[in-house]
Amino acid sequence: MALSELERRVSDATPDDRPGGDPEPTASAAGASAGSQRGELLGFVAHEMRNPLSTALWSAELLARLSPQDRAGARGEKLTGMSLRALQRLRLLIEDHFLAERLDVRGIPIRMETVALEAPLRAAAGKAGAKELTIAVEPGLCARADRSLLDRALEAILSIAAREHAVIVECRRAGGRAIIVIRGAPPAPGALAPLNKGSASDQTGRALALHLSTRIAESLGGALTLEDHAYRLELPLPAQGENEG
Amino acid sequence: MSSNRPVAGEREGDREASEAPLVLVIDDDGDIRELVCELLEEEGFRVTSARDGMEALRRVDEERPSAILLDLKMPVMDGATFARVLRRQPARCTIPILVITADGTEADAEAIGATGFLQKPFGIARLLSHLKAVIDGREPSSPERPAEGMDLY
Repeated sequence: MALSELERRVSDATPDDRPGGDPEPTASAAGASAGSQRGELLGFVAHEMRNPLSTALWSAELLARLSPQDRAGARGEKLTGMSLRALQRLRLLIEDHFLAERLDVRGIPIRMETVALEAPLRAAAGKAGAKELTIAVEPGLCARADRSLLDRALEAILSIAAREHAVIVECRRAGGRAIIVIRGAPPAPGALAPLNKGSASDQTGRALALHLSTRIAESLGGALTLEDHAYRLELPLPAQGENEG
Repeated sequence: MSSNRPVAGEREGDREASEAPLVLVIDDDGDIRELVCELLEEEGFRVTSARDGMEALRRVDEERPSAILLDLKMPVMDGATFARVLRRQPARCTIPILVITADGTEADAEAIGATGFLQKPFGIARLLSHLKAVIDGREPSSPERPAEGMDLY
């Protein structure tokens, strides 16, 4: 094999070594940035998991110390309740984190379909325990979305908005998009800011749920933002000619 | 919340021998505060609690605790700020502080003048071992394991 041919094959097989081979450093930089963001999010989640884990551990240890009689009494009931609440918090944190992780990194099959918005909004509000709910949907308005991902995002946002507040949902077309504005408990400043190890501690899991909802909106080709003390979920409209309910 | 049961770990000269040490539990997580207070009372300590550093400073002034269990990440005033403020007060600067936190490192705890450090989650036996050690001014014993091997940390 001529040296020139060998050089060509080596060069072809190792394109990064070629003069002017810029793609590799760019890709590495992007990879490092994504890795750093993942690390920050993981740091936040790890921190958030430690508190409910402690609660579950300690309440179970205290339960184990009780006599069978006391375990069946009021104190046992309280400790069992604490343990269950903590484990539910853990479950939600883990589910939300792994779903966000799959959306960010490994990908998840997204089944886009035409979704009439009122039904999923009412179902999510029911799961969120919204006591006072007003929904106004522009007639015939649908969006393109993966129904199960949309359900998860709506449930998260409505749960947060419904805390001790009446919830008002308005859905309209604007700028070629379906816009869902959810108004209830006012979002905290920076409620949608990226999460990192330094983010304020959140015992409710809301911060991670909003992070997940933001990632879901993005993966559906939309966005979650704050607008005038409300949550604004923007989704693509169905293609022209598709059934709009 | 209080208890008069005698307990090991009383610092000599601080209080009457029969009076249990008063521990101030500072954590913004209500369940954790309640559980830690409950288990410390069960172990014979007297307890008081605060949900942030600002409230904790008031508790220190009013109740003069023998030891402090301190979370770091809290609203209003975080644990690091609380510890630094406390350490600047000559009358209060020797109160032992055991940092119990979901975040942070031993170096973070040392930097704010804490006496000991535990990262959540940990078992009850380990908490008690470390708390008694900081009150007595000694190194904590190696991690204790309760009967039936329940404390894995």
